Amino acid sequence: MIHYCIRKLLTMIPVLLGISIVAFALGKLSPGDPAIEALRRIAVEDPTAEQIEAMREEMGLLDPVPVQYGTWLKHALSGDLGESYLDGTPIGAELLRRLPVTVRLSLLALFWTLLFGLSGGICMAWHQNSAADKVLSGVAVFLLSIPGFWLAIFAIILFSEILHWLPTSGIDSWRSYLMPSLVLAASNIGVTARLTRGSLLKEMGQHYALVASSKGLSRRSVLTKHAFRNSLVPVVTLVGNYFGGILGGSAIVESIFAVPGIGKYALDAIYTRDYLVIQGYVLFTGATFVLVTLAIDLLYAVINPKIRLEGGVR
Amino acid sequence: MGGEDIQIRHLTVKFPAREGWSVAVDDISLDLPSGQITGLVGESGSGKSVLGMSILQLLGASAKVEGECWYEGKNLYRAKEKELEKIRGGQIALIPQNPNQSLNPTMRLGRQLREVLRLHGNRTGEQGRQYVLDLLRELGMDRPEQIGRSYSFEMSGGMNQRVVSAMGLCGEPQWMIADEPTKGLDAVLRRQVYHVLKEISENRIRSMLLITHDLQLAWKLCGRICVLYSGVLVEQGGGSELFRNPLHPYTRGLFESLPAKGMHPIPAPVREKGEGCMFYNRCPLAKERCGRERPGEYQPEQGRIVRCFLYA
Repeated sequence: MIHYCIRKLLTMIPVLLGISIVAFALGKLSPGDPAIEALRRIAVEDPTAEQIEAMREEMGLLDPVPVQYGTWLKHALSGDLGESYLDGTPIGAELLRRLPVTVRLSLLALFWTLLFGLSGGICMAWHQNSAADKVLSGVAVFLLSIPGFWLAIFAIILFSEILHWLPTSGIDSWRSYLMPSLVLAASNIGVTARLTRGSLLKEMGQHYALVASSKGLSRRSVLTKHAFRNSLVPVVTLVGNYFGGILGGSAIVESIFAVPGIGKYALDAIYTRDYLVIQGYVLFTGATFVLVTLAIDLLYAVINPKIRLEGGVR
Repeated sequence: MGGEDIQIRHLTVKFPAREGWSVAVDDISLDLPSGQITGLVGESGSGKSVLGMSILQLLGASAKVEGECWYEGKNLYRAKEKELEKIRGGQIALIPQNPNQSLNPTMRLGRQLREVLRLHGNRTGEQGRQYVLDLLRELGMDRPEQIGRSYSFEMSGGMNQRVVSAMGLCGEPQWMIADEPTKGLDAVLRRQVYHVLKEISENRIRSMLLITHDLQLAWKLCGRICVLYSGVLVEQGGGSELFRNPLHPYTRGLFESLPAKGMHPIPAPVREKGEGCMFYNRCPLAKERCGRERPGEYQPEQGRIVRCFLYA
C-alpha cells in the first residue's frame, strides 16, 4: 500500500512539471510585450525605447528562456502568480479568494451526482428491462444530452421568473447554490446512472455472483454485498474525473448564474486577454486535477484489495 | 424412493437464440437417488451443467425451464424465491466450476464462508468461526486462520477449490452438486479435487451429483452414471458396469476417446438436429431407421437404460 502511494506520488511530478511548462509557454506565446504592459500599468503611456529596454532588463525578459521558466516556477510555487494586467491585483490571492465558492458549488454538484446517479443506476439494474428501467434510461439520456446552458436558462425561467423560488444569480445564501449545482450535475447524473447500471449488471453476471446466489443469498444481498463494491471502480473513475474538472471552475454555469468562482474569473480574463490570469488559472486547475486524480487512485486501493495488497495493475 | 431423492420429470431447458429457441436439455426424466454419487457425463454443450443448475434454479432469467423437479415434496421449478433461498446452500449446495472466479475478489474469504453460516444453521460468532476452521483443516488446509483473512486472488487455484468446497459444506446440506470441479485444472489439482470430493462423500454428504467431462473422475467416484448427449440422456447405469460394458454407441465412443484407450476420436459433430436420434450424424452404427425416428428408452439388463435401437 505504501509503495503504491509513493509510486502514485512520484508519477505526479512529471505531470505537474508538464502542466507548468504549458502554462509558462502560454504566457510567453501570448501577443503583446509584457514590458510595455507593465509600463502602462505605472502610467507610462508612451514609453521610449530605453524605458522598454530597462523594463525588460528589470523583469528578467532578457534572460535565457529556461532561466525565466525557473524564476517563474519559483515564484509560482510560493503562490506568486503575478498580477492581473487589468487591475494589478495579485492573481494567486484572487484565485484563493474565489476558490471557496467554486469548491462549495463543486461539492454540492458531486453530492447530487452521487445521490441521483448511483441510486438511479442501482434502481435501473434492480428492475432491469422493466418499465421503470426504460423510463429512467430515457431520463438519463435526456439529462446527458441537453446542453448545460440551455438547462440553466430553462431553470432560471421556471424557478426564478415564473415560480419565484430561487434567485437568478449571485451567491447570497445556500439557496443560490441550488440551481447552479443541479445544472452542473445534470449531465453527469445521466452518465453516472447509466454507467452504474451497466457496471452493476456486469458484476451481477459474474460467476462469483452466481455462486453467491447458490449459497442462498437473496438477489438483494448479492447486489448490495457482493456486486456493488466491485461495480464501483469505473464509477469512481468517471465521477472523480468529473469532480476534478468542475473543481477547476465551470465557466458556463458560473457565468450564467454570475457565480463569483474561478471559472468566471478565467472567462473574464479570456475576454480581456488577461494572459497572466489565464496562465495562473491553467496552472492552478491543472494542479487541482492532478491532486484529485491522486485521490481517485488512493480510493481505488480502498475499494479493491488487489491494488492495496499487490500495489499492482487493476 | 424417499423424499430426499431428486426426481426430474420431463425437463426441457431452452435459451433464446437468434432464430427461435436453442434447446439445451430436451425432455429428460431422471432420478437422482440419495445416499450415493450420481455422475452426469458428456461433452461440452451436452447440457449437463444446465441440468445441474436447473435444480437450484440458477440458470438466469432468459432460460425457459419446463418440467418438474421433486425434492422433499416440493417442485423446485415452481418454488418461490424465498423457498429456494432456504434450499440453496442449506439443503442442496453447489461446488462451482472455476474456483478462482467463484469467489468475490473484494471480500475476505472468511466472510464469504461465514455468510453461509449466517444464512443456514445456528452457529454464530466464535462457534461458527471454529466450525469453518475445522472444515478447512479437514479439507487439507494447513493454516486455516490465515485463509480467513485472505482474498481469493492471493490463493492458488487448488486452495480456492477447497475454499469453495468448504463454502458448499458450511450450510450442512443433504445434497451437493459438483459442477465440473476439475474443468481446466492440471493433473495435480485434479488429483486434489478427487481427494476432496472423496473426503466429502465419505464423511459429510452422501448424496451428490457430479457433473463432469472427466470420465476417470466419474469412474472413481460415482455409483451411478448418466451419459448426456446433445441435451438427451442416452445411457444410464451403475458406474462400474457402465465402464466395463458401455452399450450406447456414443458412450463407447466417449470411452474409446480416452488417452488410455488409444484416443480414438468420435467423428466431428454436425450441427443439425433431425427427427431421429441425436447421435445419428456421428454414429458408426447408424441405420436408416435412426435418422427417421427418435429411439425410446430400452432396458437390456437390470439397472441399465439405453436410448438406442440396438437394444430395442
